[in-house]
Amino acid sequence: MARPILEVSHFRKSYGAHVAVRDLSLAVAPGEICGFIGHNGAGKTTLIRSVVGAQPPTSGTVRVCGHDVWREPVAAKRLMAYVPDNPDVYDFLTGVQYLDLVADVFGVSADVRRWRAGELAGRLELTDVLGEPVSAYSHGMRQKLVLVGPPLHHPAPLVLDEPFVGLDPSASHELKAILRERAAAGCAVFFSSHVLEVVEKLCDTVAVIRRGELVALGPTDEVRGSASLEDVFLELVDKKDAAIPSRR
Amino acid sequence: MTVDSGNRGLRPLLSLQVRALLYGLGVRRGSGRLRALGAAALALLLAGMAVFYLGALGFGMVAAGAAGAIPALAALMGSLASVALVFVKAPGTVFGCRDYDLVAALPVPTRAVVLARTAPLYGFGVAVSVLLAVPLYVAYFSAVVPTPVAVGAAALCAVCAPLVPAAVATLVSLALMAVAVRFRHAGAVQLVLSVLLVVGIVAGSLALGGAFGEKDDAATLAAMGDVAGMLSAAVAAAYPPAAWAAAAVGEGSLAGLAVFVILSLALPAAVTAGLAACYPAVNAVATSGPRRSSRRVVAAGSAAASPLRALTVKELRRIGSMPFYAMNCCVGLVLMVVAAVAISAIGVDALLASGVVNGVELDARAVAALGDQIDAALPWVFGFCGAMSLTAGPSVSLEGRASWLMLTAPVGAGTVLASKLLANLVLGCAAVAVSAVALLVGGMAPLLVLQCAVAAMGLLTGFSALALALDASSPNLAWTTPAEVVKRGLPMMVGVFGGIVTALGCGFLAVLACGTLGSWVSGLVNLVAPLVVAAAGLAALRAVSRRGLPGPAWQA
Repeated sequence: MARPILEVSHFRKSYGAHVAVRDLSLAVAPGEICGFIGHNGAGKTTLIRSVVGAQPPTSGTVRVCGHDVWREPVAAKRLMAYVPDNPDVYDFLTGVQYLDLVADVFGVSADVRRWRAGELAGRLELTDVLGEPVSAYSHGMRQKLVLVGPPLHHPAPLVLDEPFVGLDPSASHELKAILRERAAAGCAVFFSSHVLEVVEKLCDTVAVIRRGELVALGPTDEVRGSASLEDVFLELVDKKDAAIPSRR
Repeated sequence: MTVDSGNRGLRPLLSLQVRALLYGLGVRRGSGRLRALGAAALALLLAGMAVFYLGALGFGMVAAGAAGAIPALAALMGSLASVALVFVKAPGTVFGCRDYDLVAALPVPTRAVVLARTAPLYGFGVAVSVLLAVPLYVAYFSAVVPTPVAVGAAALCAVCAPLVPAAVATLVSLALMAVAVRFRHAGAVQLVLSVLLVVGIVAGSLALGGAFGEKDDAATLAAMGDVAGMLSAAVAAAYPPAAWAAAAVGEGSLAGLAVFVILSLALPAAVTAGLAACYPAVNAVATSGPRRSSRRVVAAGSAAASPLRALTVKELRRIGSMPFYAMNCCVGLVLMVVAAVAISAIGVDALLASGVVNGVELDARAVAALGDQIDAALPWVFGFCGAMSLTAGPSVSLEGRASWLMLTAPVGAGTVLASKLLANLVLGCAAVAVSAVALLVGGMAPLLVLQCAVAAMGLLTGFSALALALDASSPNLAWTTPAEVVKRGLPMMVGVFGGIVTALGCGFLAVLACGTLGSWVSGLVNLVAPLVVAAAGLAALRAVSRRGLPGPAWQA
């Protein structure tokens, strides 16, 4: 088996007495698309923000191509790309200025960025508004803009938090194709989602988190078995919640 | 929709607005009693200062024989305060609000929504108007017999004064916003107009100082009386309600009072009803984006730049696109250039002897005798301006919800912070260069010009780095309005007040050194002290950048 591009080992994050994620380990190999599912507040965004270096873990390690995100942050971040759950980007920039900023920070040459950004913006039907200020963008257009930025530098792991939220059906379809292409090119794709049908169809592996604990991890077919992913997810939640009086 | 549901809806919506106001002022659940007490103490301090200043102004006018002008001035003061408040708060509160969809979907009448949005503005305007009017009327009634009718009219006028201006300002603000949102470069235009306004205020203040500067106290009082009389006449002519208020208070005109009160109540009611009638259209106008460019843009077309340069350009774009931020953090640079041009055109000695500088009462002979001391202190005027120009101070906090970009970018914290400081230095260098050229053209000695430039850049570098270090070590990324971090943020307060105290202290030290050890020692102080300040600020920033940048939920 190829060495994992993204390795999370014994990850734990707590806020004071509250433990958001406890002892979580997973790995994503090159070419693998891994879906990360869980209910609201389960700890998905907490883990993802630590994976991309936006928030330190309480303990445990996160490695990208062997680089510890918290010991060698610049080396790890240079290889990685991130799409947040809320497409908050600078209102005072135009779409082109934002993409230029991302490309400059990741060291993408002018020719390469022009070609890749043009191609991705065209696929997501964003080209016509790239000259407009981001403040004039709708939520969906902002989401498309932050999706165009990350692939510019051919990241090794592509980490996305709820990337399908706010996209129209054609953009959603195009994003699935882009993620498959990135995986085919050797990228490790790791994304969270509440849209279980998408995860079921798109992902090679799936990780299920509940109240900060990983309750299932493995190839999608194995986790799902003969049922749908939705049934399995609900069963996993119910099984765990059987101990909670209000959910019996 | 029933009337009952409207009344039921108004109270929670008003409560929401009050909570939003308190949240914006930094009074939040869990923020502690200390912060609330601090906010209250600051409000009391500002109110006390306003009362003291207006009381002094009122008694000065009475002494100048211009007591008759006070009622119109009181009405004008309350009006201006409410106009300023409406222009700042109405966009985003009354129209163009982010929660419009949410409140529009609530089962309450639209008029209740609009009333809940406008009532706090009118209420705050009334409170400020009363605060400003009371000291003026106390002075007025010390000179005029306080009949019950006059006192009652004064009280009614103080309460009603801001209502009509606030209503008109709401409509003007809406019209301006409707134009601005469609105009791509509205921010740049606003910035240029703000700079022109600042220059105009400074020039007007100097001209006024010059007009009074060469007169003795009696003549100054008489001149003040003339100016107040002219002002009162101008206000009455330009703004008739002020004349009605003045007639009601000064002459006991019940007709004037009635017209003033009726207009003050009717116009806000009509504006509120009008806004309610077309609220969806008003919000659509206020939230529409700029007109689409017909030019097709090639994606990501510019040449590649280093991360530091790209981030610096991004910071400069932020400053250029936020007039409020630029004017709060670059006003010192504008004043620096104005001072340099004034010195160049008039000369330091002539400027000080002319009496245009408030608080300086020297004749030409005295100025000539103090030549060395003036040269020793002059660089710190520029240092003072530099220390007021800290765009880097709130810049980490201003990342706000977009801070994920900064935190996940493959660059070290040092690069991110350096880009913010560099943007500040670029603006500072430009202003210092223009000022230096102006001073040289005006015939100032090159060594003194060098001292001025070093003092300005040293204090700007040192205190912007210090403020940036403070902001980076504990950023406020959860602000609701940029004013929270630009005007009320701790890093800015520490940076600006620290810079002002340092400039005054170093100026005093330089004058002392000049008097006791000679002018070459003061020159040395003027060249070395700014470098020490800059080095100290940079050392603090370096220490913070080694620890990295904290983001939301950083603390474990």
